[in-house]
Amino acid sequence: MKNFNRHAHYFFTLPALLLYAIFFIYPLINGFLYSLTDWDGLSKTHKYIGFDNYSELLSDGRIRNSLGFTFRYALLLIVLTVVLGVVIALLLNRVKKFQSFFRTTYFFPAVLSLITVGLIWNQLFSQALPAFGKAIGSEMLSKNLLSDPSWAFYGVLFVSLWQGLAIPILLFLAALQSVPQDLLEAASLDGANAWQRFRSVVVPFLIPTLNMVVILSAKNGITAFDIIVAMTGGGPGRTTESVGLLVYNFAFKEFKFSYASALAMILFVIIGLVSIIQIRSSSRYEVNA
Amino acid sequence: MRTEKRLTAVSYILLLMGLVVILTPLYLTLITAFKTTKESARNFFSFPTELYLGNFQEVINSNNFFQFFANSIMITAVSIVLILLVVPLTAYAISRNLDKWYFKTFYILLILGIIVPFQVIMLPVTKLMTQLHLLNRVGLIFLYVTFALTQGVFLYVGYIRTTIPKELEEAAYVDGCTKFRTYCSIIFPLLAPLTATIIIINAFWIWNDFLLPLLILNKAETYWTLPLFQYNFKSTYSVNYNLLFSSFVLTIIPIMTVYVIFQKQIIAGLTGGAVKS
Amino acid sequence: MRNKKATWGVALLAGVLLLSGCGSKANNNVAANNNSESEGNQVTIELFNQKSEIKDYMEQIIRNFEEENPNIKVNQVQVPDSRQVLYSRMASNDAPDIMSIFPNESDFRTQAESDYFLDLTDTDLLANVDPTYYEDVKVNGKDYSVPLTMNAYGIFYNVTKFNELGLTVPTTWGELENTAKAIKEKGKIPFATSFKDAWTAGHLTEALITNAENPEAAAKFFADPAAKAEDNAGIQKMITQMDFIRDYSQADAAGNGYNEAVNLFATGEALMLPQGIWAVPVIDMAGMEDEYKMFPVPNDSGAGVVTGGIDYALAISAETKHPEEAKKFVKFMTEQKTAQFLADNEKSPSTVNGVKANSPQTEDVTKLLSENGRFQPWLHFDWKAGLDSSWGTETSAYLIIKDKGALESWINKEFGKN
Repeated sequence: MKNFNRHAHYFFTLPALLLYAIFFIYPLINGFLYSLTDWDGLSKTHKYIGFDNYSELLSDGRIRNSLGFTFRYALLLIVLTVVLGVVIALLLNRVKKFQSFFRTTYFFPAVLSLITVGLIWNQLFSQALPAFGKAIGSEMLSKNLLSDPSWAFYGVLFVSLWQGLAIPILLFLAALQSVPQDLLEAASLDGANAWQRFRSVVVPFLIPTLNMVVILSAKNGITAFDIIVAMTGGGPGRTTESVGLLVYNFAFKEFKFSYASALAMILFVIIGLVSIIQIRSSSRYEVNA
Repeated sequence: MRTEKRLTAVSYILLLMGLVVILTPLYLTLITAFKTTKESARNFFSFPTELYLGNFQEVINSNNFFQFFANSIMITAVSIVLILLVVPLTAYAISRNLDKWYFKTFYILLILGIIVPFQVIMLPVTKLMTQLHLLNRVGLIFLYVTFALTQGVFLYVGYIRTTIPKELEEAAYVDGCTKFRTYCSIIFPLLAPLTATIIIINAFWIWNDFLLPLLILNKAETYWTLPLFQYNFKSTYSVNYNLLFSSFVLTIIPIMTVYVIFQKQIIAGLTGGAVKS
Repeated sequence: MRNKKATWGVALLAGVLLLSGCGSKANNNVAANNNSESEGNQVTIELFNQKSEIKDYMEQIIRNFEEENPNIKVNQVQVPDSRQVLYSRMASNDAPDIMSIFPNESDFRTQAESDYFLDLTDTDLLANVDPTYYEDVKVNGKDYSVPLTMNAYGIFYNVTKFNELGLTVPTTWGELENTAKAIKEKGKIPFATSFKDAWTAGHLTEALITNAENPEAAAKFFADPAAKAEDNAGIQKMITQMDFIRDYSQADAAGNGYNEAVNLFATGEALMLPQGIWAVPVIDMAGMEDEYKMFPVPNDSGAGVVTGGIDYALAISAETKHPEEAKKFVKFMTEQKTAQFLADNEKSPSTVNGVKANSPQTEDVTKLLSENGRFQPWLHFDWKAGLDSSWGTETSAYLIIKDKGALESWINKEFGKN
C-alpha cells in the first residue's frame, strides 16, 4: 500500500495512457502505414508500395480542386470570424440595455449541431429563399443558390459563420470586458480618438483570444465535413468538396482506403504547419495582459 | 457626447439586424413544422393557421425517436462522467511531475494531439474499432474519452500550475493523507470552475457530434444518436419538407431547453475557462 | 462572484449527469440482453436489406415466412449508406446472416473470393431460378448468390400529357431531341433529372455511353489503354447528349436529388424521367395520377439497348451461426408464391421460373431484357470496385460545371490510359 502511494502519480496517468495509446497513437501510426500500401478496404490482403500513393496525390486534379476550395474556405472563415467577431463583440460591449438578451441570442447557434444547422439551411436555401426571391421579383434570389456553382461556396461560408461566430463573439466580449476602464480613460485624457484607443489599448488585450480563435477556426475550416455533408454533399459539381469530405469519400465510397490515408497525412502536415506559423507569429505580438 | 449617443444608436440597429439573421431560420423552422404540406406550399412564410401536430406524431411514430434521444443522453452522460474521472487525475499527476521524463513525454504527446485533424486517424480508428468489435455505444464512449484527453489535460495542467499551490497537498501529506485521497478531497474540488468549462465544452461536442456516430453507430438503428437520426431521416424523407422541419424542431428542443435553463452557467463556464487558458 | 456561480452550475450539471448516467447504464444492460438471440427454441436471423424501395414488401414476406416457420424470427435491417455499413460489418466478422447484395458488381466478386459468403453450389436454393440469370454471376464456377429480380434502365414518360400535347413516343435520339424541344415550347419541363445525387447521373451517363455507338465499342473503349477520351467518338457523343439532357432539364437539376426529380415527374411538371424501373414504387408513392410508361434510351438507328442487371439478390454469410434457417428463408424467397407476390407489388422482372411481373408501366423496356441483342449488363460490372461511384461524381460534376477537359482527363486517368 505504501509502495502504491509512492508511485501513485504514475498510476493516475495509467487509464489515460492506455486509452491514448490504443485509440490515438496506434491508429495514427497505422494510418501512416496504410498510406504506404495498396489496400482498397475490401480485400483481405494488401502489399506495401512505398510512397506511390503520395506521388499519385500530387497529380490528382480532384485533390488540387479540393485543396483549393478548402484553403479559400478556411482563409475566408478565419478572416471573417475575427473581423465580424470583434465588431459584434464591440457592439455588444457598447449597449447597456438588453445586453444579456442579445448575448444569449447571439450565442444560441453554438449549441446546435452543425448537421442540424446545415440541413435546416439547406432546406431554407431550396425553398424559402426562392419563394422570397420570387416575391420581391429578384431573379438572382429566385433559384437555389446552393445548386449554383458560383454561389454555393458563399452559401456554405455564410452558414458556417452563422453558427461558428457565436463562440468567438463570446470570447472577444469577455476579453473586451477585461480591459481596465482607467486605461481607456487615461488614453482619452491624452487626446487619443476612438480608433487610437482601440488600436493601442484594447487590441493588446484581444491578442490571446485572437490567437485561440484563429487556431480554432483554422482547424474547423481545414477539416470541414459536417456542414458540407449537410448542405451540398460536396456539390454542385465538386465546387464545395472539402478535403475532409474527400478523405471520407475515397475511403468509404470509392474503396481507395490507402489513398485516402495518404491524403489525410497531407492534411496533418498542413495543419501542423499552420499551427506552428500561427504560434510563432503571434508570440511576437503578444502582450502580457 | 453626441457622437457617442449616435454610435450607441447605430449599435442597437446593427445588433437588431443580426438578431433577425439569427432568428429568421429558427422561426421558419418552427412554423413549417406546424404546417401541412399544402399550407406551406401556399405561403412558406405565413404563420400556421392552426397548430397541426400531425408532423410531430408521424416523426415520433415512424421512428424510435425516444430510443435515439436516450442513446444521446446515455452516451453524453457516461462519456462526461468518465472524462471527469480520467482527465483531471491525469492532468494533476502530470502537472506535479513535469521534471520527470515520463510525464513530460506524455504531456507533449497529448498536446501534439490537439493539432492532429480527426481525418488523420478516422480511417485506422474505424478499422480498429471494427476489429475490436467495438462498433457500438461502448466503443464510441471510449473514443470520446480519448479525444477529450488532449484539450482537457492541456487546460487542466495550465489551471493547476497557475492556481493551486503545492503547499496545500504537502500539508495534507503531513496529515497522513494518501496521494489519491489528497486528490479526491482537496485538489478535485478546487478545480470546479475549470471542470464546469470542461463539462460544457465536451457535453456540447459529444451531444452534437455527427462524424463519429456515423462511423461507429450507423450499423443498427437501435444505436443511433439524434444527429445521426437527423441525417438519416433527411436521406429517407427528403421530399416531405414539413416532416423534415418537425424533426428539426424535435432534435433542437432538448438542447434548447438545457440552454435556456443553464444559459448563465454555460456562458460563464465557456468564457471563464477559455480566458484563463 | 462568477466563480461561485460556476461552482453552482457544475454541481447541478454533475448531479443531473450522474443521475442520468446511472439510469442509462441500466438501460444499456437491458438492450444488451435483448440482443442475445435465442429465446427458448426460437432462432433470430438478420436480413440486411440494401434496397429501400423493397423494404415494406419484404416485411410482408417475412410475416408469411414466420407464420410457416414459427421458430424462426427474421429481423430486417435497413440503414442509409448501407453499402459502407455492410462492408465494414463484413470486415469485422459481424456480417448479417442474410444480406442483399449486387452480384454483378466487382466488389461482390472480391468479397466472394475472400470467403465472406456461404458457397451455395449444389444446394437446392437455385432450383427455382432461371439459370440464364445465375450463370453470369458465378465466381470461379461457384454460386454465392441467389438472384431474385432484375433491373433495367430507360426513360419514363407521362402518357396522359403526351397524348394531350399530341406527342409520340421517340424511338431514335433525333426524335427524342424533337420531343424534348416540343415539350419545352409548350411550357413544360422535358426531363426531370437529379445531378445532386451523383449516382443518378452515373446511371444516366452509363446508359448514354452504352448506346452512343454500341455496347461493344463502349466496353472496348474502357478496356483499351490506348484509347483516349478526347479522341473517342462514343465519349464525345455521350458528352454532347449530356449537354442536351442538361439544357432540357428543370432549372434546378443541379440542386435536386432523386426524390425531388421523381416528385417533379409525378406532379406532371416534367414529362420525362430517365431512371431505372426501381423508381416505379417511388413514383406511385409520390402521388402520380397520370398514366405513365417507359421507353428504352434511344440510339440513332432506333434499336436502343437496355442496360440492366440483377437487382435484388441474397447471399448468406459464411460465418452465420444459423445456416439452415438462413437457407430456409432464402429458399422461401425463391418459391413461386413469394416471387409472384414480390413481382405483383414491386414490379421488377423476376428471375424465378414461371413468375411474371405484371407491370404495364415498364413492360416496353423489360420485355427487351430477354430479346437478343437488346440487353447489355451495366458497363461498370467490369470496372474495379468503387469506380461506378466516382464515375457518378465525375459525370454529375460535368453536368453542373461543364468542364469537359476535367471529365476527359479523369476518364483517361482512372481507366489507365496514360
